[in-house]
Amino acid sequence: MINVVDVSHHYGVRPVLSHVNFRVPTGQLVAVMGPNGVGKTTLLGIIAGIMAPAKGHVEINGLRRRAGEDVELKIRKQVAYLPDHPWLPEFMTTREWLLAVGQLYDIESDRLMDHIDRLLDLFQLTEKGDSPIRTCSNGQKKKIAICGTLVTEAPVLVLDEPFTGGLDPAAGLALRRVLKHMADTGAATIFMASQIPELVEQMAHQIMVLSGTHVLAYDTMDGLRAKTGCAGGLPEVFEKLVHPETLAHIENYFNRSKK
Amino acid sequence: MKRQLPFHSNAVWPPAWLMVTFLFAYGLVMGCLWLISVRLPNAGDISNAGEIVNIRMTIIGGAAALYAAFRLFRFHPACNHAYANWLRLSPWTPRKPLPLGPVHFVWQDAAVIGVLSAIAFWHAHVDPLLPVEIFALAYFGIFTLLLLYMRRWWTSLALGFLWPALTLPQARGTAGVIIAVAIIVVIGHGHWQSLKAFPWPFLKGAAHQTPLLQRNIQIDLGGNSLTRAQAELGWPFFALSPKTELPSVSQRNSVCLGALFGWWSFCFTESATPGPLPELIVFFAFIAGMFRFAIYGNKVSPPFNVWWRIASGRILVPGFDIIFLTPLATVLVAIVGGMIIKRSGSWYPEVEAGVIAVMWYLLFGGGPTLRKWMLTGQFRLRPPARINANKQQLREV
Repeated sequence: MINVVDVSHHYGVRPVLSHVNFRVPTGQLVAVMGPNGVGKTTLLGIIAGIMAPAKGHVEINGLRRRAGEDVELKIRKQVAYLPDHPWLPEFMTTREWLLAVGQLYDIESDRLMDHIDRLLDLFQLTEKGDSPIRTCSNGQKKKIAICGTLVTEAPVLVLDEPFTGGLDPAAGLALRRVLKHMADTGAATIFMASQIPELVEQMAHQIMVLSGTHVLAYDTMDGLRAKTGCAGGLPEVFEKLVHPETLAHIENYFNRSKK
Repeated sequence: MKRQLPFHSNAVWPPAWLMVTFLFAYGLVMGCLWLISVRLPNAGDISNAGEIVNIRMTIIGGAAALYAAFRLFRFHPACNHAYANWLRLSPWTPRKPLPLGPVHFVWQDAAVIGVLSAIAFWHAHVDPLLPVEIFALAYFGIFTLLLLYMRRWWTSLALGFLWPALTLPQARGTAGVIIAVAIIVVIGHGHWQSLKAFPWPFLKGAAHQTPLLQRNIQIDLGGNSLTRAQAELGWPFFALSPKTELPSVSQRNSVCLGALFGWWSFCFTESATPGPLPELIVFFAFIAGMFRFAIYGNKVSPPFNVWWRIASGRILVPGFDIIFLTPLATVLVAIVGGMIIKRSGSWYPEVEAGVIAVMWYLLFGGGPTLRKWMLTGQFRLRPPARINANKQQLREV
């Protein structure tokens, strides 16, 4: 379970998050959406432990982040974070790197090697498994970073834009299925940022919409529909929530052209 | 009939290259002197001139020091990891002699140094004790460094106190002999303890410390071990690693290190008598404080900048500002200590030593420890600059 308690953060004098409170129950997949620069990456960074909030705190499975050395290490073992711009050691091969990441999380060796083989197969990286990462394309590097997050077997995954960065459709489908399966079986609690409403609608148990510095809405798809009175898909619901004037502007545009 | 194997310590005879180098260097000097005497008969006998004697002393002393280094580097398992790893797999125990040759003194050492002393006395006309002293200094000095390398911390600490004591004006005659004997005893004890602790955990590929996975796979990463490669796992995989080996100096060790550096300062001041140096101490405290701050602030940024502090009225951020405390306290101790040193008269060596001891104690033991800071500090982890370089590249494309 992820518990975000009264989190506020600023960049310089510009507020980014203000008194954000929410809870992600265990085994749920929650997607966070919002306009660019609204603080999604900041929120994910705070949950992942990259940064300390100016105010408030985060709890992971009942343990408070940065409350103590042992507590923090326990939390780190339970959380895997995929940033929007991961950086991989280019001199290592994919397999070596995944082995090293798995070792950090104390995954039993036989299971780890088997898991790596399955991940390489799933993301069509088997041929690149024993080549240095520097020989991979941008899309392949993104896949490798995703594999690095999954190989940890961490019960809490924090993913920043996992479907962008040059992923091919096959890898997108594979990742969607894997994340959905993990969440549906309760194997992981997933908190991810995404700008692809179609994907979010298909996958997420709950959707969070950030706007301004606040959580504008945090509910299931049906809940969001009820809240907005909009029966359409997530793109319409999202627009109605975040930019209610945009839909009116579009209507106006077409109505005027008819006249 | 059983064939008698040669005693293993026969291996300690100086190697051919060492003997050839010595004979060549010494012969060159003698040859030059002979040439001068033949070509310039009016120059007189210059073989006992100060410069020539110094050259001969350097050659003989150098040979003794090289022989001491050879004795340790050739036969000590810590100097040869392949040897140590082979030893680890053999039935060798510390009670048995080291198979390649002994590290302790054997009669061959006395013979070699005796020959050098004889040359020094009868031919070079220098003090015959010179090769003995230089051999002992080099042998025990290198042994001290080896014990430090083998992580015999307490032995190294004791030697850290004993060695500088030899430089004290009071350590002449009997006191000096007592200190020298103490050094030899401590080194002997440390050596025995280190052999008992074999195989050493720091050995490359030491199986008893290696995780199963690493043992099975043994990936060669261009000379880097997998463990070392974990330190370069990329962003943010290592920054958020659930395993961390950040150094954390305990209070006990901080006290010991503070006392050690204080003692070194005292010995230096007593032997070199440079006079009180309060300004230098303040300067050092400032540099050391900055250095500590640089270590702590290396990969992190404050959660928010100065403008936000002013705008919000939250000038102090305890979760971050705690890293300023120890450097500030160190500089403060140096300033106050400097004032006391200036007023301490003839007691300045003791006061200076005390100030330096407190400063070092603070630098090592002042909170928070690096481990605590990196795990609980209120900061933002800074991604490596290479990420931004990549972003820039992507934009250009």
